[in-house]
Amino acid sequence: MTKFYFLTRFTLKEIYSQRIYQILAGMLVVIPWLMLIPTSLFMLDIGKVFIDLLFLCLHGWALVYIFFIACPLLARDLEQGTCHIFLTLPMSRTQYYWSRFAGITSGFIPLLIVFLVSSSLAFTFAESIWGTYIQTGANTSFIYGTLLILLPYIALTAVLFLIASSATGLPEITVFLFSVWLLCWTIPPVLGALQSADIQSSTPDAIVLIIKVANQLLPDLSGSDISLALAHNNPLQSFQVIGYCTHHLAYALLAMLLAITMFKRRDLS
Amino acid sequence: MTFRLPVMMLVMFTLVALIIWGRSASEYHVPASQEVSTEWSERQMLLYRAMAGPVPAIAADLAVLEVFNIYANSQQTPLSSKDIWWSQLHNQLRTGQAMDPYFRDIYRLTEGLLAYEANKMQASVDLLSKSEPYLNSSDPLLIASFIAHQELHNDELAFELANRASQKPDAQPFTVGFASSLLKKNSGCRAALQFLAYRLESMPEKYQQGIRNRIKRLQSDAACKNDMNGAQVSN
Repeated sequence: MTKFYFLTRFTLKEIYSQRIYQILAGMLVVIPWLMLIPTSLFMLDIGKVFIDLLFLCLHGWALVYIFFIACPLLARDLEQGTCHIFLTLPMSRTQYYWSRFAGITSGFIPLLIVFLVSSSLAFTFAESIWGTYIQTGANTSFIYGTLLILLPYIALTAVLFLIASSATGLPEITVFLFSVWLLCWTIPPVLGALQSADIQSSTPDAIVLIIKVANQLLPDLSGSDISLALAHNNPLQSFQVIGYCTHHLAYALLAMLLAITMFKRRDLS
Repeated sequence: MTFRLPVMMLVMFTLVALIIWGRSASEYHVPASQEVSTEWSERQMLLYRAMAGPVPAIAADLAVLEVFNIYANSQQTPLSSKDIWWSQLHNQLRTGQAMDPYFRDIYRLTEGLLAYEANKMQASVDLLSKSEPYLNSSDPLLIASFIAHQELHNDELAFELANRASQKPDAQPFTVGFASSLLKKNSGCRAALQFLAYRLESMPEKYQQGIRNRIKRLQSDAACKNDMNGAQVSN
């Protein structure tokens, strides 16, 4: 357990010391305030537009963190052989992988705190300007939505570990992870489109089957219904929220277990 | 090779000046084309949705911004060739409604621009009545009812819409009164002008022109003047 905490803390320190991480944290202080500018162009649902923009920003920084901080960190371990240093502590490959995952996932927390604090202050300011155009409880909905939207990115981080367990280096990890993310982004709306009788009739059954299988294999990154409902301050059913959280956490665990199985069999020499 | 500081500064200033000149000389604005597809299809909307992925609400926000842009362009276009803009405006509002059917700005712009600027009354009624399953507000249905009554002269549809509006949780006495006056078929110009004045109050100044024009047209209409005089005599 001591080794686990050691490497988790070490990973966090490694992440904090990176300039891109510090710049990202600094940008998250400013961006929510900048989002007030496009928000002011709208008429009635100003609070909703502000939440939409903040959610978009959240997707953006979560992706930046995964692609530009987490991916290179893990790739460096494999390419430069840094992982050998830890594995000779002695530390098992399982411990190494879980500690790295815990460290990278914990790296979300400071960014999340900065983002939430800055956005909440911007919300308070927006409420003082636009008053009734921002629905009561919009800020709470935003915080709730932020926590829910971040869950798929933990699943995506686990997918990153799964890819890294057999990848040779950064280009391979980035390309495969980007492909997974792109598929996760587009498949749910494509499945939604397939519910239209017109489209269903003109799509071959084999394609429909492939899309459905791919959807089952990949984490559901969309969460668009949830973000849409929360932006309008519409309540979510607790059963739906429990299902959503279970889905992503279970997916993250499963991907990590598979990743560890593959990493244990990998020839690192 | 080393430069002295003044030489270095001179070189740098020259380069900055060249960059500024080069940028201004190479500026090229592509003129906005009016020849764009105005066809609307469900498939196009589904494609937008696929592209929007987890952020369909942003696609709706962008559609609203595009509506503002189209309106600004239409104001610089002669009256005879405005139709192409109105068609695009209608498409953007439909896209916005499909992406985020809860978004109230879409319905407000449908009323203010599509109905009273573009004069697409039937399209406005269709779009406004789509709000029913999504909004608790009676406003869009009430406006749809008013347009159906006043512009389409379809009192049956107007009453049906007003009746649906009066069942919404926020229905004001005005909504119920409007529905009942439609039922009695005694609403005339006076009610229409009152209604338009009521809508004008909550519309941003920039987008009030269409409604103001409509009020002026009603006020200058001979039949409307008779109706108003009749109402005053009876009072």
